[in-house]
Amino acid sequence: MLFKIALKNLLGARLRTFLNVFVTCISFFMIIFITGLYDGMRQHAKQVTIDTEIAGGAYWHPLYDPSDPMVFEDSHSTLPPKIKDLVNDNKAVPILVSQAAIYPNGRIMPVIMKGIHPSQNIVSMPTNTLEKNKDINIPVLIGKGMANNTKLNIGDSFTIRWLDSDGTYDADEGTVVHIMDTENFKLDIGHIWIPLKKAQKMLALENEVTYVSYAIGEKKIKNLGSWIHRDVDYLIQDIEAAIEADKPGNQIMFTILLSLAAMGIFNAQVLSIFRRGKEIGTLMALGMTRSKVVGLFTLEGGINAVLASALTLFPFGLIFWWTAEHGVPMPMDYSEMGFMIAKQLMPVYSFSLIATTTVLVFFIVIIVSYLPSRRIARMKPTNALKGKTSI
Amino acid sequence: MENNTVISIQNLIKRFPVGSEFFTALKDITLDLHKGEFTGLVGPSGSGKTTLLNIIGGLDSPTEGKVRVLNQPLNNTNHNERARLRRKYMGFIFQSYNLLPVYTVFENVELPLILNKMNKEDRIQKVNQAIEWVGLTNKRNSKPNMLSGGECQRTAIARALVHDPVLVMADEPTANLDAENSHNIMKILTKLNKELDTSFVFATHDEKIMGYLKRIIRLEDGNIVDDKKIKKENI
Ligand SMILES: Nc1ncnc2c1ncn2[C@@H]1O[C@H](COP(=O)(O)OP(=O)(O)OP(=O)(O)O)[C@@H](O)[C@H]1O
Ligand SMILES: [Mg+2]
Repeated sequence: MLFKIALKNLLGARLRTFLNVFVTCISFFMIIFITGLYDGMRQHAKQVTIDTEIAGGAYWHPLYDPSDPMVFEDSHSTLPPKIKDLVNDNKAVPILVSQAAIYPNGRIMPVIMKGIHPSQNIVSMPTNTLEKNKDINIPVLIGKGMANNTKLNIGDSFTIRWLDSDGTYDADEGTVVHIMDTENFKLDIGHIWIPLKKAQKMLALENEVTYVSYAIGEKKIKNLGSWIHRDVDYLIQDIEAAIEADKPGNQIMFTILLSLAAMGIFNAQVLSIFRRGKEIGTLMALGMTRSKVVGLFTLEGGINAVLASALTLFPFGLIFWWTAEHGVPMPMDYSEMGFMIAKQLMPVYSFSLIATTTVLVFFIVIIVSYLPSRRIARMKPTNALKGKTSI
Repeated sequence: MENNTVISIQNLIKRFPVGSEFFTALKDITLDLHKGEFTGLVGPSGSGKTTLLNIIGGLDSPTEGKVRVLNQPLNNTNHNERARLRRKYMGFIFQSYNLLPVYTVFENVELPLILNKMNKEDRIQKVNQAIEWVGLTNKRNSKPNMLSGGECQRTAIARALVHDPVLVMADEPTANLDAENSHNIMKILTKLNKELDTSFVFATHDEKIMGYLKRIIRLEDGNIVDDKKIKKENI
């Protein structure tokens, strides 16, 4: 019964209802859209990192720490036998990490030099390009960002200088054989990639490596000796942390959006109770109990939320659907700012995202509808009938 | 209390707080109203007519004294109980009609039946009947802003009577209407009073109404100064 009356009141007050619903709807939409974009970004970054870098996981030399180049000198050894078997089966790719300096076009630049097995197919990197030109002394694979920074093109040669295992500096000439267009800046910025055998020879570390990445689906090996197993969750941590670091900004925005919607509805409720004093008095005179009148006004606010969801579903739902299918074009290339953002962002609208947003918005709407309506319970019918409604 | 007593008031006093003082709007009112009576509370402005009507309707509570409405002592009933009494047994007609603006004539008249949880079929039948009583069948789908003042008040009358109340209270029902509409309204009410045996209590100082009343209670300064029954039924 209350529902019918509430619905009639809302439909009767066309513009007022529409404006309320629209404000709620916009914040509904923005929260879902932005969170969806964000989730999409995050999934994409993870996927790219897994595809190009992590694969199924890794085994590390016990001293290896990717964030501390000073330990690279000591963090290498021959592989434990079981890992070696995995490599021989082409189910893992060995990588030797070292510090080096390059001198492109007369500048000096410290880099991380990684030797990788060129014929690997564990991570999605064009390492096979390192095999093509057998006559080149040191074939080098670099990323697009690196190429931009160093102004190097394919075929350009430059000096590489490194510290070998005897503690003496050595230098030789490298040549760019390929420039890869990768979204994973961690393979690009400050990195040069050369064939593993070459690296081992240059550093005088025959058969030694720093870590191996193994194929997706491989089981974890037990009894590794001192080498350390790192799973995907561990390896993805820094990406997760980078995404988390962005979160507070998002939450502030959501709070603002939600407050706007909440204030809109609160304001509309206060106004309608103030203006509809005579109506409230009349309903009381007709025998509606105070709690029912409170319920009626709260319900009107609640139906606002339902209408807002419906409106979000219909016209804005099409936007959700379209963007999920076609992605959102990014106006600029963010990859050089050190983050993995696709040129075409694919938002991901998970069920839990839509469900939590809906529940949250509903909850807020009901509260801001109820708070002002509660005043009605304290109103005297005689005052209400005179239109004396103090809020 | 007699069987056909609808309202019984004994030594009613009503005081309103005004600043730190009290203003006594009703001073020691004792009064019985019977079933089917067509009563007017008349008197100058500020004499306490609306206040008395509101107390009878349970919209306001007495400060002192006993008020029984339909055999229910109003002194010790709560808000919900009083709301139930109004919903089931009372009807209200206001000076400014108090129709709900977003509802049509039909929906306005239907509201008391919805509040009483009557089923849809009975509701439609009762509403159509009530709208016919007041001669608004051709306006049943109009909203209040499309109606004249007289039509609005006739809608309000249909709303006050649609659920067959025992008692109808009308506060200055003709104050906003011209002479023709006022007489028209009073004729409708007189007819319904006869046919349905509904009791009516008016608060008014409209001379045009006086001729229709069967009992006139004169209030002055919160006191009953005169109470007389009019025998003849010459309308
Ligand atoms: N809520 C209130 N607070 C204080 N005084 C009030 C209140 N309601 C009514 N009064 C006073 O009580 C007295 C009686 O008021 P009431 O409204 O009953 O008069 P009335 O006979 O209906 O007058 P009118 O013919 O002008 O409608 C008036 O003096 C009024 O000022
Ligand atoms: Mg009055």
